[in-house]
Amino acid sequence: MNSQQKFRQSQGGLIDRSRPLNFTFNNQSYQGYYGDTLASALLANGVRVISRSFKFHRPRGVFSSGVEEPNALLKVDFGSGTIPLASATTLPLVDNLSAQSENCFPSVNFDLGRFLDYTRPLWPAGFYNKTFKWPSWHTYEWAFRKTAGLTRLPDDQDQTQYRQMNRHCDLLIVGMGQAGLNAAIQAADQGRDVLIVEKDVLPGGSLLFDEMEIDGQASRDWITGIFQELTDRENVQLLLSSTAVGYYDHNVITVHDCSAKYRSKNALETFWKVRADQVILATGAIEQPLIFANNDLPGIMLAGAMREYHQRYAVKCGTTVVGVANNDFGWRSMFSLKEAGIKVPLIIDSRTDVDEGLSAKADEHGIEVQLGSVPLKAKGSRCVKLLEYLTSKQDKKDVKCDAIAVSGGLNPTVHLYSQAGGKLRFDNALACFVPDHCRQNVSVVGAANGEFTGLGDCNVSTRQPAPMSKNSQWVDLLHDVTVSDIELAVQENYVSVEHMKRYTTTGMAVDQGKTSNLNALSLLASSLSKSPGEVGTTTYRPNFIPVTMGAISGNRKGELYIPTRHLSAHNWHHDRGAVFDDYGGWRRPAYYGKERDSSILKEVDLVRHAVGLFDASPLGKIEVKGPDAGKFLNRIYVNNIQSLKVGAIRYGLMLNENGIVIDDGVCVRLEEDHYLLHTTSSNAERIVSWLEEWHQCEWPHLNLVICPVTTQWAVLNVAGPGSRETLQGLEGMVDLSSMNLPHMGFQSASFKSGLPYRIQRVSFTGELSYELAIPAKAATEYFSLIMDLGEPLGIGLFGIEALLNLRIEKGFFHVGVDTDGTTNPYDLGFETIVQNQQDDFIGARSLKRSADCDQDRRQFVGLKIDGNGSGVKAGAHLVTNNKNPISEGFLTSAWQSPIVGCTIGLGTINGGLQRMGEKIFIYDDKKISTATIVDRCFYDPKGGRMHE
Amino acid sequence: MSDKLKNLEIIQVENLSIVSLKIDQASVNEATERIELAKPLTRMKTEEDILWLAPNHWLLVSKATDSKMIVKKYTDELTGLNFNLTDQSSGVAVIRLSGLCCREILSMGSGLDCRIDKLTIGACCTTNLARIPVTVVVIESGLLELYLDSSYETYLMNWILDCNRIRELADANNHPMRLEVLS
Repeated sequence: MNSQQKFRQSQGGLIDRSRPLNFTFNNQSYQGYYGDTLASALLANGVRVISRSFKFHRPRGVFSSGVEEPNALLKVDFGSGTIPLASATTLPLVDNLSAQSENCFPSVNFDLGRFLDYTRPLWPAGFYNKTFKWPSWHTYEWAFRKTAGLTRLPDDQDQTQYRQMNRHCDLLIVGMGQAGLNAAIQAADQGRDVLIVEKDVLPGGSLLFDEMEIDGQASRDWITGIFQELTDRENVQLLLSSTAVGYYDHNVITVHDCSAKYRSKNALETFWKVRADQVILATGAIEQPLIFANNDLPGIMLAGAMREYHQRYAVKCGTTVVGVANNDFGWRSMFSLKEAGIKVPLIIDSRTDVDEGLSAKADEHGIEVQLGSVPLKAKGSRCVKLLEYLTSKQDKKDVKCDAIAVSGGLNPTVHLYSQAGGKLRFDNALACFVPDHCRQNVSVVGAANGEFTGLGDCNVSTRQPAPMSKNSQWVDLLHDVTVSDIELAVQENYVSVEHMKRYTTTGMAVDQGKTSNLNALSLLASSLSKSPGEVGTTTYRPNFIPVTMGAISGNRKGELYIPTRHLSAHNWHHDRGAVFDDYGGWRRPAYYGKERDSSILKEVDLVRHAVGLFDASPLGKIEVKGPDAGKFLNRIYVNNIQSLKVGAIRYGLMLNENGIVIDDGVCVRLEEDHYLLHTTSSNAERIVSWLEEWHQCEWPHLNLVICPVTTQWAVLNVAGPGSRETLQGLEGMVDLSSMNLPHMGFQSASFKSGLPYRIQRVSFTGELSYELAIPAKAATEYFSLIMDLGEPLGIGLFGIEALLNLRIEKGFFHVGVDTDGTTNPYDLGFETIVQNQQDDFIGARSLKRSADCDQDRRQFVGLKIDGNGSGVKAGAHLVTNNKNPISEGFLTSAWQSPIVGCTIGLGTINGGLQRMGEKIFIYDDKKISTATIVDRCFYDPKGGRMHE
Repeated sequence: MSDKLKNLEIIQVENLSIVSLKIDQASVNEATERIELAKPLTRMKTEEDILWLAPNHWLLVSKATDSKMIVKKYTDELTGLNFNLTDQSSGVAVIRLSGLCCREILSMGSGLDCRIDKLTIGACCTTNLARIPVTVVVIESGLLELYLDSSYETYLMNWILDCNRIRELADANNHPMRLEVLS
């Protein structure tokens, strides 16, 4: 174990030296302390090369100390599952943590992928748009796919639990820095319900490393005091390790809470959806880098980050540090390092004039200052060793160092503000974008609002590249974007900031350009001779930092993945061997038994020759009642509903405004002004909404009410030659003879027990069939009763798969299976119904369009498939010429029917109704079968069995 | 069925008579003059519990009175108006959540403002809970009744139990903050 921590200072820092923590990095053991981040612990142990860059596999080290980190993205295992691309700068160190570098082979210190760096001129931005065209891109695609990507998804099981929480509050404050804590205490004093969130594990923000006196106290004491005071308030909730990641309309903010994430057991992430009356963003600012050659070498870091590692974690980021800055903030960081005993031989500042106090302090610390100077090039292989710079007199000089602290000014963290719809303006004095105005109730305070303390005048001109080769001056470290890439984008006329971003990929991926966007658009502006304000920013989108998919999905997995509906007799079916599947959101018996195909065949045979019992409860049931109900339904259905007699049933089609079939089912007239509509099971809720929309928005003057009653009534479908005899045995059952209850007849009554029921004689199987509707709570009892009554007749249960096959034999279409978003009633052979309807109905006008009446449209037909038809699948193309297959339609349903004696199918094919007897091919992924177009009814075409 | 858990009790309430009363918009004013119905977003306790669902839609709930009797009673009261009374005793399920954590469970799946001073006793509102439509009735501060389509009852019960498991995990592992390093 390497426990030296040779870059750890013996004193200071917000770490607990009495609690050492062991961890591994690339299988090497190290030690850090409680309070460390993974990055600070690695730096303390002198680890410089942490990762390899995305495109060119250049060695990279820790660059920052926060969420802006573009380099230190590692695969980390806490014992509860692997997290890919985790930012080492924000990960709290825990015992037995294991971290691995990614995107390198064989190791991070020697990576063969580096050859790409040596051939870099061949791979400029957008190279793949111009090269590798011959003979085709696909020749090379595999190699690029293999090379691309920063990580691989972990294979292991994620043990983390995910919780979602909704929270309302009067005030949400994002950020627990000085500004955020002050705002919180003021709001708490006013009695407001305050939620305050902080992405760090500790409150304090920059005060944790930029110590000052507040209200006569040392800043750390002030933080501790105010935090305790807020914790004690009942009207304040504080969330640490919780990052506000998205800001949406109506002041909805999402917060990713990782306060219980980093542990080996019972790891928990919480995703908060906060709805706040008011939001205060105290999100601080992010220090920006400067551009010069090889500015990506390990050892080059943001100056503020170096200060934070030193002050907060007692870690030295180097022994000899050169400062490169364009603002006072950078100088103060250098003074802080010097005061800690680190050698700071030189500060280079592009400004020609700085505050006298700064110069005096530099003198006091014995730091040489080069004003009006710019860095040219950093030198070193796996770590910086030397910096070349150009003095104000244009002399080229160099200085030896093992670390360079860069500071290109601060940029307010305006991501959330921008997501909220806030507009930004470029502040020339601060050389950054600051919040301007927003339509939502949000305020921005502190550094996030450009209220920097001690920044001084920031020199915007230093966001320019050094005067030398530009293809090694890095703008976006994460995506390996150089100055020359941005110039190339401009040269190729990608002059909009959004286009430039996409062409070069700058600002994309994990860090979302937190340290690259400002420099990139400054360069773009400069190339176009515009100001950064004129160029503008790209659109900020959620999420501010990467959020695990688990946190977004919460407990929506396994059986809770989607809301599922259960039959009231679910357990009864389960006990009888039902195999359930999802049908339109319902868990329904697909078949009963162990072996699928044989079970379905058996069930089909049962219905054709004996009697079958089917749970049709999900069948949509909607009551429409009122004096105008008939008029309303006449417009909803293609069919004439008003002419329906009380107690009668009519089959009807519903169309949308384009004349497309959206649902079908039978409609019963219960009373003069009272109708019961049946819809397909999966469409029931959609049709209720559809009816309400037409009533409320288009025809509110029609007097009626619409009441969905689907789940109130369980429907027991008894089908087969023995169905009448079986049901007639129920005490209190109406006379089921054809005289009293003919096909498409309806009656309602009560059983002897007093239980009300509705019975209708309709058939989707082609056999004599009844649908008995009873209050759902009695379903189990009546299923058992009917099974007992039907036993002498050989009754059995049949599932939905058997039903769907039975209806194929009858040629009945199934909406959504045999129809699609183009099928109109003519395509299904319903011309007569349309022509007979004298009144207007939804979709009528569309059906008059010539295209809708075209005889070459895809029409619904039957298909007799040659051979055994094995392997023929719904969805296969129907073609005339199998040598040059051009799709003329689709096979929509198929099954090997024992009663017909061959494989039969239903499908839609161009002009199908005029092509009876024609041979066609069924083409499915190069498998070809032949079939004959036939009438779609294969079984009992005269309907004698169901009319019996 | 009752599931007693730490700080949370879940009961599936059975044998309730539940009747949906939907009145044609044109008849609502006259109906409310004839009978007293719950005001928007509230539950009214009379012989039956009357839950407001929408501007022309109420749910009539009773433990004592048979749904047929409720239908008859309101049919008589509203004679001459356009309305529909449908028995929903089988179609609507009721789950009762009580205990210190019942609002927290609600917050895990619904965007309702569950703060005690916002979701007050007597409130009745329909929300998406766990992505299904649920009517929430606040009986007492720590006692909520959830009315939902009975086909979703199994799903919602599983969802509540899962949320409670995660909630207990969160409670048990209340993350120790690293504040001690500040001192």
